[in-house]
Amino acid sequence: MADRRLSDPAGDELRRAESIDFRFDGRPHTGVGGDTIASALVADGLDILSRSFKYHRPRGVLCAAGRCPNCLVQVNGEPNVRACVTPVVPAMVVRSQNAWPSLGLDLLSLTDRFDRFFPIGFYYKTFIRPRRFWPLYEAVLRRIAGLGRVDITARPDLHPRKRHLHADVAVVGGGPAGCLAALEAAGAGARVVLVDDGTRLGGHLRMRSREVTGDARLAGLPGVDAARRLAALVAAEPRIEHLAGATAIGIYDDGLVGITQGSTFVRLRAGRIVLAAGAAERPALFHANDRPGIMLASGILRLIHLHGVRPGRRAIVVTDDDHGWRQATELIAAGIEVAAIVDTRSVVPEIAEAATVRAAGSEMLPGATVLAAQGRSRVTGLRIRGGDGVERVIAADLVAMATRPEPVVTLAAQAGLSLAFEERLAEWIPVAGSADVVVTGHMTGLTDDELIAAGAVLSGRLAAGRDGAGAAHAHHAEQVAAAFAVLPDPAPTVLPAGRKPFVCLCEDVTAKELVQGVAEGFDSLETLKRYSTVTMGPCQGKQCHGNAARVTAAIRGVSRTTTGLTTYRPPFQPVPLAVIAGPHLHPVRRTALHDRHEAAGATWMDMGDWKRPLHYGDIEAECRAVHERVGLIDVSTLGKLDVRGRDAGEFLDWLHPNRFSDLKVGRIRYRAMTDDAGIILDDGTVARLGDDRYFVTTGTGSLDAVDGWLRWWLAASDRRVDVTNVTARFAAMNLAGPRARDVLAGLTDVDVSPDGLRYLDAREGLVAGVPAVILRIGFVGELAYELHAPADQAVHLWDALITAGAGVGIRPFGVEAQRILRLEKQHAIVGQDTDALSDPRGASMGWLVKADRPDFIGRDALAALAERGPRDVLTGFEMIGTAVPAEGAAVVRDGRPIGRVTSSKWSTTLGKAIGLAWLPAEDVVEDGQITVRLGTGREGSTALAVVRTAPFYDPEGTRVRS
Amino acid sequence: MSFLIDCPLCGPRETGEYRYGGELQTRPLPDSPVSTWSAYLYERTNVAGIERAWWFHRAGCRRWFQVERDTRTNEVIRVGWTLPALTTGAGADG
Amino acid sequence: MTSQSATLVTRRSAIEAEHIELGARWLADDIHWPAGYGEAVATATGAAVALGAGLAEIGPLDELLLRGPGALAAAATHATGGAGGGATGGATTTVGRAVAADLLGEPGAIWLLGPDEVLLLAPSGGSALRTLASDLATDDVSAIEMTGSRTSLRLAGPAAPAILSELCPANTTPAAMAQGDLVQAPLGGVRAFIARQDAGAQPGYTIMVARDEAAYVWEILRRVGAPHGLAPVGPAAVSGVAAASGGSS
Repeated sequence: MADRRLSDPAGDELRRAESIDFRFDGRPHTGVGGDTIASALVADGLDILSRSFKYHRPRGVLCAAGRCPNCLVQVNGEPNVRACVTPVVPAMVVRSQNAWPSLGLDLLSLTDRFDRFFPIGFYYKTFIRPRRFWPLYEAVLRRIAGLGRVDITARPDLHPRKRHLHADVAVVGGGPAGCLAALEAAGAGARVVLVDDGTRLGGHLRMRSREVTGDARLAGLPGVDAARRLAALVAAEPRIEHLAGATAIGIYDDGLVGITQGSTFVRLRAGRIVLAAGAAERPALFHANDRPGIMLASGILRLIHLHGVRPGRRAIVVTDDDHGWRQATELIAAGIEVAAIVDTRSVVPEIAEAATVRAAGSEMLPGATVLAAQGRSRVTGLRIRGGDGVERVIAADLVAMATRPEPVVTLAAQAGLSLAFEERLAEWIPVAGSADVVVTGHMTGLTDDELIAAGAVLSGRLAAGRDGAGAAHAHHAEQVAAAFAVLPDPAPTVLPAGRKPFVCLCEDVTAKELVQGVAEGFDSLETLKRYSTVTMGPCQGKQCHGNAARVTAAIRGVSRTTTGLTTYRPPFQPVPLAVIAGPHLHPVRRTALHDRHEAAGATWMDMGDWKRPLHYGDIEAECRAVHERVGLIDVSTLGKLDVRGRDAGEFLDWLHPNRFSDLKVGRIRYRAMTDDAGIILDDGTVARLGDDRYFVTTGTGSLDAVDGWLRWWLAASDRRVDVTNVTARFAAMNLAGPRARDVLAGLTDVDVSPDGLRYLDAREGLVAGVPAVILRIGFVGELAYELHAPADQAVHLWDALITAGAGVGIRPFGVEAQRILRLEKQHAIVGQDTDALSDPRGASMGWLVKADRPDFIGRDALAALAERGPRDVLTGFEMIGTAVPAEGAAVVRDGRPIGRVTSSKWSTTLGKAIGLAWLPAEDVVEDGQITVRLGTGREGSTALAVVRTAPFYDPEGTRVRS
Repeated sequence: MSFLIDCPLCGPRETGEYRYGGELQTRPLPDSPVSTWSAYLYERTNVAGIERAWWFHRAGCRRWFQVERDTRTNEVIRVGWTLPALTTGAGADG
Repeated sequence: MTSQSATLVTRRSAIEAEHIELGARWLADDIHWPAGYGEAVATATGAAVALGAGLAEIGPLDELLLRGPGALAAAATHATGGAGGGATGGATTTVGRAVAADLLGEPGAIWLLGPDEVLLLAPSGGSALRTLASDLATDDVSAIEMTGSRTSLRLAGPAAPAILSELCPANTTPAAMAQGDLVQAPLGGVRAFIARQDAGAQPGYTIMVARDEAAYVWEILRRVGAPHGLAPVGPAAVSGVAAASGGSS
C-alpha cells in the first residue's frame, strides 16, 4: 500500500533520496534511508511483525520506540532485534521469530485456541507426570514458546568499544526538560554529558505540532520546530557532550551511569545526575487489546513524524485523561481521521483541544468503556459501552491508546530515590532524594509546559552546584505539589471484561490470569509477578508494570500504596553481553628475547600473561643438548626483586623460614616463603650482592602476589627497606650443560673457573660487553649459570652466547625440556607440585626451616607441623611400565584415592616415566610400590610404580657442582 | 562493584584497580595457642556494618592503605595509610 | 679468556619488531629506537597528528629510581620549575607531577610518583644518572638503576584524550589533568604512568609501561586509536618542549 507513505509530515529521520533494499521472511522490500525495519514494513503494508510468546497471536507495531516485544525480529542471524528502532541497511536479511510455518499462518496459534490448557503457572501443574516424559515435554514446549533462535556458529561483525567518560553533570533524556537542564548546567560552568536515545534531540516534541510555551527560547514554536531549536542550542554549547542514539541502561553507585550506544559501552562517572526520562503511555485494557493496528498514540505519531508512515486511516482514540484529547488533535493535524474518542471519565474536559476534536467531527464518548477489539489479523473496530450503557461497534483500522502517561521511574528507583504514590495522578513519582540525583520534566508527573520548563532550568542549576539553587528548587517542588492538589480525583480502576485483555504482552498474561493467580494465593505483587511472569519479558515491565499493579490492587480491593511496585533492576533496555564486555583487551607479556625464539621456530605457550617457548621442534634433542653439551633457556619471566636498605637482611629473615642476613656477600641461597599458616607461597633464590643489597627471584606467576605481600608487611612497619620490582629491567637466561663454563669463559673477564665461581656464587660483571649478574645455580641438573642482564641489551647477550656456543653445539631449549630435566632431579615447582595445603616438611623441604629465632612468618605453624609430622609427603616415583600417567591423576589403594600425581613426564635420557606425587607419609619408602591411575577421571586403568626418594639423575648432584 | 575508593595517593578510582586485603587484625604473639592462630588465620568478623580493612592499589601506585566502609551500603567513610584505632565496634585494629 | 667489551652493544626497543614492520630508521646502528619511519608512513604523519593523533616511542632513556623517606628531598634539589600550582624554579615536592630537571648540568626529567618514590629520567648517553646513583644513595635514599625496564610512548593530537579514555578508567581528560600532572593507572588492564604533556597546541601524553607489556600496549593503542585516525609517527612529530627527555613543556 504505497499510500501509507506521507509527503507531509515528511519524516524527520528520512533521507528520501536513498533507497534501501532488504528482505523480510524471504520477500524483497524497499525502504527509504532513515527508515527502521518496522517503518519500512508498515509502509509496505505489513501489519503483522511477530507472533506472541505463548499464544502465537499476531502482533504489530505498538510503541514504535523499542519498548515492547511486538516487533522482535531476527536480523542477519541475530535474534530479538527491535525492528522499530533498528535502521534498515542494504541487503539486510530479516526473519520473523516464533512462528511456524510462517508469520501469516502460524499453526502454533492453536495454543491460543486451547488457552484453557495453558493458564497461569500451568507448568507447575501439568507436564509433570509421567516424569520420564519430561525430556519430550521440554523439547515440545521449547519449540512452541520462545523468541528468536540463537546460532552458536554465527560470528556477528561486532567491534565493541568502551569509553570511560567523566562529567560534572549527566543528563539522561533529551526531551525539552533534559535539554533545558543541560543548557542551564553548562551555562553555569559544568561539563555536561547529555544522553538521549533519539537520533536527534527533542524527545516528544518531535511528534508535536502544538505550540510550546514556558521557555522564552521556545515560546510560540510548534513542537517539531522547538525540538530543532533545542538541538541547535545544545550543539552550540561546547560544554555539553551529546550522546545520540544512546540509552542509559542503569544507574549505579557513586554517580556511575551505564550507557549503550550502538556497540559502544560508555561508563560515565558524573558528579550529579539529572533524570529527564519522561513519561510513557500505557496500553488500555480490553479484550483482544493486542491486535495489530492497536497502538499507543505516541507510536502512531512516531511513525508519522519520524518516518512519514501512516499506519492506518481511521482511528479511535482511547483515553482517561486530557492527554488523550491533545493526542487526538495531533492525529487530526497529521491527517488521520479520528472517528471517535472514548474517555473513561464521565465529562468532556473543558480544554481547547476538545473544541478541535469536536470541530473535526469526531464522536465524543465520555464515560464510555471499551469492551473488546474486533478483527483477527488486524483491528477492524471496537465494541464500546457508552456512558448510557448502550453497547455498539465503531469501525476503525487504527486504535490510538492515549492513556495518561506514566512517569518512567526506572532509573530514579535504581539511583536510590524512593517512589511515592501521588493519589491525584494515580501514578508513582520519584521523591526528591539526594542533591546528587535530580528528577525533572514529565518524569515528575508534570504535564504543564511552563512548570516543566521552570523546573528543568532549576534542576540544571542545582546539578551544577549553583548557590541558592537548592532553595529555588524546593520552592518549585511546592508549586508542583500545589498543581497536583487541584487535580480532580482519578477514576477508580475497573477490571476489564472479556477473556483476553492482555496485561503483559511479552509473556501473554491476561487480566483474567492475574485474577486466577491472586485467587490461588499469590496476592503479593512480587509473588504474583514470579508466578505469572508478568513484567518478566523483554520489555521488563515498560508496558505492563503499571497495569499489573493497577489490576492487582483492583483485584484485591486494596490501595495502590499497599500493592506497591516490584523492584527495578538494570539493564533498562536489552544489551548484548559483548557490548558490556567491551573490546578484547587481554594483556600479553613478551620477553626481550621474543623475536629470537620466533626466528628459531618456537612453539609458543602461555604462562599466565607471558608467551614462552614450549619447545623449538625437538624436545628430545633439547634435553640431550643440556645433558651432553650446553643449552640456553630464556627465564626472563622469573620475578625479580631488588631488596635493599639497612633492614633488608632482617626483613628477608622475617619473611622466610630460613635466614638470609647471614648470607655472605657474593653467595646465593634457595628461598621458599610461607605464610603464617606454614603454607608455601613461593620459591626462588636470594643472592646477596652487597651489604644491604639483595637480588631476589620468585616464580614466574607469583611476582605480583609476592610484591604485594612484601609491600603489605612493610606498610605498617618502620623498617628501612626498599623493595623494587625489577622483573622488566632484567632479562634472564640460563646457560646449562657440561660445556657451559667453556662458552661463558670466552665472553667475560669474570673468573668463572670452578674455584673462581663456585656453586651458589654470585658475581656482577660484563659478559659480551653487557653488564650482568651471574648466578651459579642449578635447576636442570647440570652445570649452569643464570645470567641477568638489562633487557634492552639482552638480545646482544643471547646472540653472543649462541655464537660462542655454536662450536660445541649449543641449542636453545624451551619450557617442556626444562620441565623434564628438573623432574629428573625431583625439583618441585611451587604451584604445580604444591598447593594451598602444602607446607615445607610435606614438600620435602624440611631442611629449610631454621626455627631457632624469636619470630618469623609461619614460626608457630611450622613448629606445630614439626611436632605432628606431615600427613602427606611429596616424593618421586617411576613407572614400572611405559605408561605415563596424567598430571593430576590419583594414586589409589583398593580403588580409593590416597594421593595425587603432580608432575609426570617421559624421560628419554633415563628411558622411563618419572614423576612427583603426594603420598601418605607412611607410604614414602624407597622401593615401595604404588598404584597410579593413568587418567584424571574417577575411574580408569591403573599401572604400577615404585617410590623413589632420591633424584633420578645424578642423585649425588656432582654434575651441578662441577 | 561500582563504587569508588579514594586511594590516599591517587584519589578516587574504580574498585577494579584495587585488591581487597582483609579485615584489620592483630597478629598473635609467638607461642600463642593454636586457637588464637586459628582465629587469626581462618576466622573473620564479616560484619554487616562498619568494616576496617586493607586495600591494595594493584593497578595504580601499588601501595597498601586502610578503608573504613559500611559493608551494607558500600559507603566509604574514610581512608588512610593507617586509620586511628576504633574505640568501639567490630573489626579490631591491626 | 678475553671479553668482548670492545664490541659495541646493540640496545633494542621492546617493540623493535613492530618498528621494523613500519619501516623504521634507527637512531643509530647500535640504538634500535625509531628516529622516524619510511616514506609511506611519514606522509601520513602530519595529517594524523593534526586531525587524529600520533603515537611514537621515545627514548632510549636512562632511568634511576629513588626510594625511601629521603627520596623526595633528594630529587627536589634537581627539579627546575614546571612544578604544580605555578611555582617557578627551585624545589618541588608535589607528588603526581612530571617536571623538567637539571641533572648535574644535563637536561632530564623527574617523575614524582609518591612521597617516597621518584623516577629520574635522562636521555641515554649521558653520565648524570650514573653519578647521581652513587651520590644520592644514603641510609634514607635507595638509588636503583632501572634503565631498560620501561618503554616510553608519546600520544598526541586532538583525539589523544578520547583514545586514552577508551583504555583508561581514570580521568585523564585535559580538564582533570593539568600540564605536567601524572597518574598511575591501568591502561588496557596493565599498569601505566601517564603524564599530561602536550605537543605544542595539541593535547598529548607521555605514557610509560613495563617493557614486557609494551608490545601489547602499542597494539591496543593502535587498534583503539584507528577509528580516531591514530597513526604511528617519529618522536619529533609529537614532541612537547623537552618531551624527548620525558620532561614537561
